[in-house]
Amino acid sequence: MSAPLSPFRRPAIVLALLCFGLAASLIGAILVGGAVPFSWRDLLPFAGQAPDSQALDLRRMALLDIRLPRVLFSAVAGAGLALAGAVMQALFRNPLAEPGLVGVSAGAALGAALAIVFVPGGQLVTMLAAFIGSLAALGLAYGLGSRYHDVAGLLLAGIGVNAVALSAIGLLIYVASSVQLRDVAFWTLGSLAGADWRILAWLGPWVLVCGLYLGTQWKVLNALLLGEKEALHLGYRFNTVRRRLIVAMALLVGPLVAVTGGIGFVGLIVPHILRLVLGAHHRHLLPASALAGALLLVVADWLARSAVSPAELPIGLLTSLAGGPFFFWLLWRHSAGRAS
Amino acid sequence: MSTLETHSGRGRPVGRLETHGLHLYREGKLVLQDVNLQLSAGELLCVLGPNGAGKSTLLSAMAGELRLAAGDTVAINGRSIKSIGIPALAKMRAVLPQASKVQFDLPVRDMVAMGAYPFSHLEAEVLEQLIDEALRMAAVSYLNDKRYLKLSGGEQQRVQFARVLMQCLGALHTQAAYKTRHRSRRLGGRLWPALSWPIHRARTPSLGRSSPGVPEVEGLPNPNFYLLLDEPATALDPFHQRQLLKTVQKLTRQESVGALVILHDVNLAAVWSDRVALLKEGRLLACGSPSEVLNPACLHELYGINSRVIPHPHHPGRPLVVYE
Repeated sequence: MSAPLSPFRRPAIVLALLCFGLAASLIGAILVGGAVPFSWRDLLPFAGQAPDSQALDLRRMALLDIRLPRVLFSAVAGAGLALAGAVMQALFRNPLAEPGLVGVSAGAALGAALAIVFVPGGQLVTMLAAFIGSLAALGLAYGLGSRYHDVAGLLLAGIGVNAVALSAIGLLIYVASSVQLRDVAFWTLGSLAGADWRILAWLGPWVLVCGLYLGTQWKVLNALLLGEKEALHLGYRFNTVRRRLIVAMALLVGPLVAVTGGIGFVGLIVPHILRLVLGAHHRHLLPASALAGALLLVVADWLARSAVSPAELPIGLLTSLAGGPFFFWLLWRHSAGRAS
Repeated sequence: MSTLETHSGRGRPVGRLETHGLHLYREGKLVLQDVNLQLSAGELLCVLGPNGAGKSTLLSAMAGELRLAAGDTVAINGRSIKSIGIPALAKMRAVLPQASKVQFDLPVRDMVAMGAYPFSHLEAEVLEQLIDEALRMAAVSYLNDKRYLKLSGGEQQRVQFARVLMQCLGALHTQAAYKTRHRSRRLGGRLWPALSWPIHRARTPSLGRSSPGVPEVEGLPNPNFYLLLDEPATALDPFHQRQLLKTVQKLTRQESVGALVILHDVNLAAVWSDRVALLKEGRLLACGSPSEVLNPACLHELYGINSRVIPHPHHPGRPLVVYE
């Protein structure tokens, strides 16, 4: 932000920069850092003629089967979370909104905790339970909240659902064994370690479809910025629009949260920063949010892997550590803006 | 169509936005009582009344926002407003609410462009021209690339007015293009260049008080457009108040737009309106030309203030109200 009256940055330039940044971070995250170091030579097809070809094969396998899907998935997840955040903020007309607000994350956490404690069936069962949990929580919040006329009802219902889900998780932690406890704790901290090609093959197209659909809704989202009445004057009935957007958002975020666990603040920070740079025109804000979200999560996962290598930090912890202070700053700035 | 013809009484269909015996309750309280109001195409109708008289509720009802009680009490161009879908309605009327609370910042031009959302068929080039025209008509061209939230209250109000004008221009352009296509088909299928209304019409000087006749509207999907403005002049300085009403009047005269404007300044209504409606406690006290309705008796009943009404020194035939 330079001079207060200066227009926003040109969207084309911002989008180009984000594309460039994302490409650079993808390459960096794939090749640099982590438990197993790679060099670009390992990727050349005929480099395998070196004497220690067995070690090279192992390295190449680690790169292609573990590192590559993980990095790509972090990009997909970041894009989805940030996009959902942008949609939620427009829907609630509040820069502090994020997908977790309507119970998606807490519901997923509860589903995962239930699966860990009662149905010990491995990672896939946990993911499935988390997905069901997120949809159930959102369905509950929506069912209760849409009885209210305006969007505040949904917000209140979301707060209620969050509180119930968190206390239920507390209860589960109380009855869990120490191993289960550790699993639940790690799940809520969030990790991208579970990503593999299979998950990427499912969720990549899924996120793309949901994301493209939300991307077509930029006019509705802009109209909602004016208010519910004004949106109606422009031809959008609020209840219909709200249902459509919430369902698309849930379908986008639910599976992502189920795989990654609790990765907070991406959906909050990314759209917010971009609005300062670009303005709230969703035609530009939505694609920019997706790109920047992907960039942020790729970099965050990169840091999580390489900061304490060969161990790794939980990525949810990292995003929350960075996101928490940012949230305070946001609140402070918001109240200062009101006062002046 | 039958409703249209019975109401016009001249054989030629005149579009109207009208309420028939409108009753409206809000939270158990009767807000509007048996309101019969007709807003004809090509007319500028001002609604005056004290705070809480039900002016905004009436405007909301006429905009199709409110769930109405049984019986067709609001009709637009002869059709019950309940039978028209929200997207279709957006092509027939535009509404300027009292104050929009916008939280998120965006460029003024994008704000104005929202008025064109109901008309997704407009080509990008036409759209840009229409946005320029709407900005010019609302006297906010100089704000084109500014951030909306950094503007003053009055400027924001004018930008919102430009957005509403954009919706009107979108409808008029669509009709003009439709008409041209229709005519060209009759003339042997030769495609005429798309008629971009405001560009070529706004350049011609105003025709003043020419008859607000309705152009050929037969066969058009939405023959008349309506503007519903809730206290558009409140945040504006006298120059821009005048400018705004002049713009609205021009649209009613030249394009047969029907405009309902809620005002608090009696003398603005006296100078610019074709008819004035007085609303008090949810009931229509009087409705007629400014010189008929704006007299000391009516004004005392409406506001409880004594006043004198004298001929307007600058606008012959118009009253000037001086409060005691």
